[in-house]
Amino acid sequence: MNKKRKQVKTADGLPRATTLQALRSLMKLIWQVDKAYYLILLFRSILGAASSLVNLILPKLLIDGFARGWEWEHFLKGILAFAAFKYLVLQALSFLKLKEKRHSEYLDNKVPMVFADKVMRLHYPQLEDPQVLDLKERAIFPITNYQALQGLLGAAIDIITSFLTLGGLAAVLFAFSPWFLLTLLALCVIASLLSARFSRYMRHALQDLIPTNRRYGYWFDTIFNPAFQKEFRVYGLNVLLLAKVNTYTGEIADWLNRLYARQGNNATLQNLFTALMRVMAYGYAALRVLGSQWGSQITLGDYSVIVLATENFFATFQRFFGGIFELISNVHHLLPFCQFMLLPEAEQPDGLIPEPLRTLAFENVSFRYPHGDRQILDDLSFHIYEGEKISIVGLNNAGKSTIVKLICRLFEPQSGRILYNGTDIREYNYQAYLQQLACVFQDFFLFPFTLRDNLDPEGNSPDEALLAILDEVSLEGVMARLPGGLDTHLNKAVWEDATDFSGGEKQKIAIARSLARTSSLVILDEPTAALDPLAESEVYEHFHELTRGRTAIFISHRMSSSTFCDKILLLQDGKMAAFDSHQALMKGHNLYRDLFMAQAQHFLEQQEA
Amino acid sequence: MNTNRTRRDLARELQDKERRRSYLHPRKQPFFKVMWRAYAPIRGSFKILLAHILYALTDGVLPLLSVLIMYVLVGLLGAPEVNQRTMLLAAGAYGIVYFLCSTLSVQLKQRNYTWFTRQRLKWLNLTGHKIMSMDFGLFENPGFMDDIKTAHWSFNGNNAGLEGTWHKVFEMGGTLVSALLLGGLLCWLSPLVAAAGLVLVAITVVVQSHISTYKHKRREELVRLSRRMGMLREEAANFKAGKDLRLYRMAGRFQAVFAPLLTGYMKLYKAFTRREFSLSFLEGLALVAVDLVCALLLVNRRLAGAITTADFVMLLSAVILFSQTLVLLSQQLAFIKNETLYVQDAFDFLDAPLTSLDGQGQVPGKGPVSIRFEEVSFAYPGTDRLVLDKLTFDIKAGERCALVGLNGAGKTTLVKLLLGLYQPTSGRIYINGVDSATLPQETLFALFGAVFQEVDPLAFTIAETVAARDADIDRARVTEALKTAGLWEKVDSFEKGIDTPLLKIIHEDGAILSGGENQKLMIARALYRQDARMMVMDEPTAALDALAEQAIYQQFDDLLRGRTALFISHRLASTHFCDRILLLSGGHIAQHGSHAELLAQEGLYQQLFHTQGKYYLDQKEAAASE
Repeated sequence: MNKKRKQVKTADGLPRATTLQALRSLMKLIWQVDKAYYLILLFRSILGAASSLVNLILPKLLIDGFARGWEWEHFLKGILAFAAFKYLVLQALSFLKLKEKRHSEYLDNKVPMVFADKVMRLHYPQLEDPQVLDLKERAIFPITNYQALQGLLGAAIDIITSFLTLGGLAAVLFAFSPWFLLTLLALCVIASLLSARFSRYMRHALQDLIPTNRRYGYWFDTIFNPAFQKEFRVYGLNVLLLAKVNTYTGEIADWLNRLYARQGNNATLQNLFTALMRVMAYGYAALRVLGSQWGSQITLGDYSVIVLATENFFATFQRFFGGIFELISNVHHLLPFCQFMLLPEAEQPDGLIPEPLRTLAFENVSFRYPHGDRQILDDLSFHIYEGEKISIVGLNNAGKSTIVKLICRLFEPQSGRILYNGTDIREYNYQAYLQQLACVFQDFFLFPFTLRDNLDPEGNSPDEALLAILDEVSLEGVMARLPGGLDTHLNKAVWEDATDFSGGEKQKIAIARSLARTSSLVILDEPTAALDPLAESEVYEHFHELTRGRTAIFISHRMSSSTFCDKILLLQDGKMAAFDSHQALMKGHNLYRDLFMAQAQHFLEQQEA
Repeated sequence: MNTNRTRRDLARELQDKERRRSYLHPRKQPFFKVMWRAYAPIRGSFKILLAHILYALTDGVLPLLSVLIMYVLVGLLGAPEVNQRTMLLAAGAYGIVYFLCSTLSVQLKQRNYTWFTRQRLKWLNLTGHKIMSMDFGLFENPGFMDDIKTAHWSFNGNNAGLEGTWHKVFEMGGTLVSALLLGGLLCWLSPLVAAAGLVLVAITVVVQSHISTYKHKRREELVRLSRRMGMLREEAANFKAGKDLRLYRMAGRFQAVFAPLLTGYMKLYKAFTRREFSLSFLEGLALVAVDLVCALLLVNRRLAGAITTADFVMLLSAVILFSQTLVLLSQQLAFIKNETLYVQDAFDFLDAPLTSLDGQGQVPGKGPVSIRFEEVSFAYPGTDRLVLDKLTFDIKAGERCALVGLNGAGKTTLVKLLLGLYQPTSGRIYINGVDSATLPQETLFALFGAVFQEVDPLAFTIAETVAARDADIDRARVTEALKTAGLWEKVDSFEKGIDTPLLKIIHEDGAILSGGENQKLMIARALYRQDARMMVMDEPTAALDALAEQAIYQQFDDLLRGRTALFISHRLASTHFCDRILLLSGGHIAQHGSHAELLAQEGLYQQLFHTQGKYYLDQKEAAASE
């Protein structure tokens, strides 16, 4: 779907987007999400302009009526007609405001989901890149905190409405005197150019404020974050946290002060122009009423209208200009968002369909993380055969979990190959390849859906099959007391009626999830960290049943687990230090033995006591 | 001590929606009372009050100036001898006065703007403080959290809520003066005008009031739906979910679950806006009616010859300005009335007593405390299932106890009750013989040094994290704690040492520690609290490898000798340095005693120990026999 376009990159490797590109992509996005919006925008603006212009009618109507010597009935009819017309315009505007509000609320809620969708399609290594994470935060921040999207749409309305109003006013003034209109326009333009200096300052100042606002937002959100509330109370962190918040609020208030003062000065300058224009209008129009020295004579009725029109003209021009500034400003705020939407997505190339696993081999695999500073795997080679149970052991950060990510094709090694059934894994169809893998990651994630959705998101298995698997991981007791059964929701932050499962129960659900698919390789990374000894033992005892004779890779800090595996892969300094059975390794002097004895000795001491 | 006090348990009490509503919002405050309270800082500042008045005058007089100049010019135009110079002078004079007034009003508004922001921040601080000290259980009450959400937002913005109201009232001063001046002028024509104007404002305010009350009553529902969508989006966009999302093809589910949520939300939103629209017919009518009445009156008078052309033009422009001013005034009033509903919610939040522990008691003695749980039963608020059932046990002062048990037995729950984060459903907890429910919250919390299961750090410096403060940090103590926890080498390798900031959100050069390192950091934090009278540690080594774990436990053995301590761990072997072991099963202590004693008894402990150990032993024996 994501055509490979030659992308311009910034210094840190992130996609670049200019203001114009950003505006174009945002407009396209709005079109994709809600086509009707543009039409509503247009009509709402037309009617907005109409309701401004309608006020010009009344004075002309009445004053000219007197000039023509109307009778009371005539006036009555005229005024009633005006009232009816104005009412219609107001109601039509009201209707379109309603429509616009609904659609912009829809957009406001749909666009962040489109963003989330993009995250879900990203090429995986970016998810472990702190710069991409930072871009994500910067992208979403203006939408949630500045209402940038609403601001953008509002600015668009202001621009179109004032443009149309200006058109109407210009028509009136042109009829009065083209030179007058031109002079007026010139003054407006000069005033706006002077204002542009301020606009530029404000835009830069707003950009400068964003990082401060983000940091403030981080502290502010932390105060409300349920995850930290225990610590706040037990460690009395109120004072510290509020102090952090206040450093930023102080900074922001100072910044605001400077901004508002300059805004005030700019407004004063604009007022000078307004005063000038009004004097011009009153004076010149009066002269035209008096006689035809300065142009064809106009009536008092015209006089009222000209004066009204002039007063509105500059104000509308300012609104127009202000709207453009708001638009540009909001597009700038949304630049990170647009940049984020340009990030490369995971490619889903076609390829071979893998058969069930017969061999898995690492062939001289070397790997370091894209922004990492050390070599994680260094010329690692080993073979695994069908049906084997392998345990991978090593110190913290030895690279055990990295091996898992490489097997899952989340990352690619810098050199060397990973061979599945003798073929490089990159040659397989990605989705079909993943189907052969059943993984429980160390930091597994359960999703805010029902239990059934978590176990079987694509709805392939019948309920009985799912319940049977839950039995296997000893969750039948828990299931019995769930009134909703498989329809129980998992995340309390999203669903009030969700069940908060304990850490151990969640781990069992994650294991169940991995079993619910037909795969030939099972990978379990610390699957019993949250389980008590009995539950852990059940996993070990039934390991063979659970893995159904499939090939399995098992990673655990608990050395006891390696005893029921066929072989242990000992990782040290990114290399394979040993790859042998438990008994063989225990005979030598190595890290494995040290790790094992460190835990075993407690039980041995007790035994001997 | 004060044993006759009825014990509060707000987390449980406020589960019920009606009870919650009446507890958080006991009385509907009249509009003026809320405004009076909201205006406390302004009432205290003469400078700001003066600014309000001056602004109102300089801004309010502007429309009247426009009307007057029209009157003067039209009058001059109609005179038998027209003096061009006078006319131009008049126009010029108007220009200067206009400029002066508008400049003054703009400057007054802009230069006083942030004064209001700073005042609001004081309230924001109070809110933050309250959030971090209210009952812990309330955080797990979604209804409660939804209810107070709008309250928070009242103190968090420039253009809405409390500050928005202040700014609007400031501006409204000008609008009000304009309306009065223009209305007064038009009353010369006929008092009917003023009456029509008042009716227009009244209708608009009543209609808007009705709409905002309707929305306010139903805000909980809108907030709830909005929250659901927001959290769902957040989870979908969570980078940490990435691996499982791709492996298990969850993306489609997110879309499928989100769509009906959005539809439901839009339905509710449409109901709101439909009401607004249907009432707008009334407002439009009222507005047009004012124009109608004024226009007819003017024409009538003019036809009757009661007013001159100059008068007519002046009054006509006054009418147009008058109706524009009235519309603005109604909008401002409606805004203020709407926002004060939410400002009142915010005040309600600040007023409501939200800590169950508000006693005056003290813990006698010095040094390590003794703990006694007496017939403590506990069910999580909102549920009926007793996680702990008449739990009774003692921990002597200076005794190091291990708490073991199966998953879901209630170990973490027990810890939370001990720390005072939850209140027992029944039964009492005694600390040095004093009922913990009689203690003030801060006193109870200060007794403990704790390590929790979750180890996410905040963006403080390492020293701030360990010392849990940013001033008066005992740097030597921080270093000691880090050494004991086994993190010193890593910290020393950083350029800024213990002053290194964590995470990258605040400082770009902040450090990111691994899971194991974070856990060590949290252990150091607990150890820093040397004057804690009891240590509580919940799975403090779950993320550490065998050697690191062993190292830490060796340190604990030395460091915590003679101090009251409670450890939770799955790894039975790690409890060997404890004086006594408590086995939690079926909601109460099934077995307790030293490791040797429990091992000798036939029961769950023996079973657990053998189950965990057999894999090591089988192999050792097998190895030995070879």
